Amino acid sequence: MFLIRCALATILATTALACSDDAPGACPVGDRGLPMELLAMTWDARAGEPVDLVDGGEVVLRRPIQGGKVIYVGVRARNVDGCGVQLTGALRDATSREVIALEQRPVRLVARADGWAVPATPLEQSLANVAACPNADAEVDLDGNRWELELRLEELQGGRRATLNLMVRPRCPADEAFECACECDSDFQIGGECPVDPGDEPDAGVDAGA
Amino acid sequence: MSRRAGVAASLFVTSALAACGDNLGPGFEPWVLEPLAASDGFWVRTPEFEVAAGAEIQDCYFFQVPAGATDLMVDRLTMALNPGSHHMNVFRVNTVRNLGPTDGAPVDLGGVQGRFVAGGAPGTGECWKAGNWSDWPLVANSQQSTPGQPILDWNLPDDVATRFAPGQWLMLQVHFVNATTQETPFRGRGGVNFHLSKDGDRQELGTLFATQQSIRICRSNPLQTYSGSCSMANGAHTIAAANGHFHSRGKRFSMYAWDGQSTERPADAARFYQSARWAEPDMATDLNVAVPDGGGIWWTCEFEWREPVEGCAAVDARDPLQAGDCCFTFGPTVESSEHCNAFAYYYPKSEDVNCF
Repeated sequence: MFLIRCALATILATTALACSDDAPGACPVGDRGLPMELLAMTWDARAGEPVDLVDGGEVVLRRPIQGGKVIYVGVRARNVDGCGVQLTGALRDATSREVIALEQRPVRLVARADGWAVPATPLEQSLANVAACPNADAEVDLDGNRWELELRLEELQGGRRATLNLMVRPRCPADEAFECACECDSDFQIGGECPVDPGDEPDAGVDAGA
Repeated sequence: MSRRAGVAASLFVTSALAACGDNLGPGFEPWVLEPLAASDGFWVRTPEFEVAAGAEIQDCYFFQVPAGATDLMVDRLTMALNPGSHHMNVFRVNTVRNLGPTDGAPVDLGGVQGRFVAGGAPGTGECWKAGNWSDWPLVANSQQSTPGQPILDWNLPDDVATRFAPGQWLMLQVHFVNATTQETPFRGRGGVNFHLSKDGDRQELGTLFATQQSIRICRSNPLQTYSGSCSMANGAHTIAAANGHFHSRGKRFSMYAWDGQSTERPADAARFYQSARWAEPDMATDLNVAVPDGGGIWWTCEFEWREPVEGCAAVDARDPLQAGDCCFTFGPTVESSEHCNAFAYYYPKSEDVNCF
């Protein structure tokens, strides 16, 4: 298994070829002469603060304004310009290597007392809103199964970047269980009948055993 | 089918003599779409309606595909809009939440009788709330409403048609703006002709609708770029048509063929759509873009904040954070919110796709 087991060890910090460390960061956190460090974070969207996300950890699927289900994922970082950065979040099928959902957005990280830069409020703007469900490309249900999460942070000026990969398990929240399990079923089709899994096994469904 | 968009001019009749009431006026020739005989297809025309100065109107018209024994295959769509339209979308009605045919008042849509749900004040009524049609497959859309080119005449590629079930409910949504960023100089009106295929098209058209729901363009951080990807399922596909949609802070909308593997924006060579015209974004209907198995589109919206003509009060009022930074956030109103929506049409259909 190629995936990195420990969140701390997952950091792949690289300085980009076109790095321009002379370009002043608007709000540097840490030493930008050192490689950028990342740790994964997630947010429930109905809870308060984002929390660290460990390899194999759960991420909550939430319904945004227009529908569907997203996961809110991002990073805390060191040795970075917290203002001019772009975050990419992607869910990948670890077997087929296909990216089944991806979002890229400008984010802002703010310095915390412990020396890390963390997502600024509003959190939905500082975390990737990865549109997980419905998903035409997923071969198994989104919820309850393990997916590889790729998070990449890139400074817009100079191109310094770092990437981390870890496994996550999206989970439908209890208060949206029926709709979520329906939309996240790999057999769900826009405009079709809901093949939501029966009974008390919201993640089993037609993909049981997958 | 071999007809192409280049023959558009011969496919409709424009006439100042048409009975279009208050649309008559200097500089405006009302569009006319010819009614279709039942053997040739089905058609709808919204009534004319006033769009008062300062107003934004978004209304929903429900109607049924004509009854019959077999599915109808449509290989040409003609979509007409009066100047000032922000968009016209057609969806297939699915799960009814707070918006559906039974909520509407009877309305004569010309070719069919339908139901009408007024949107009401901007952002308030159910026709404004996108969550109401979140699982309704897209059929077609048009944003083309210039006085000189009010009709989008879209011939699907050879051997391709879109399928309708007899009696299926459809929803036609029209959005007109007569304010500072967009003007409706005459009256609002829209119409669609659904032309039946008569040459045995075998491949079905699929649709892809993708949107960024969490965007924020503020005075203090005026340049913002958002991107996303959206995959189609089950096999290789060809993208036949596409357009993008945002509001007046939108500077450039781009779509790329995407391999379904990379997390980097595709190279410029893979870009098949780009538009900098937010009010009248181009609808590309002559595409022939190959998408590999597992692939899809990558789309990017580039925004630049600018001072609202009417000031920031309305923009600030709808900012969930109340940051007082004149932040445009996701929403349907042209004047005070922003969108980043991608529409793509592909074949052969695996399934209709929504990414949001």
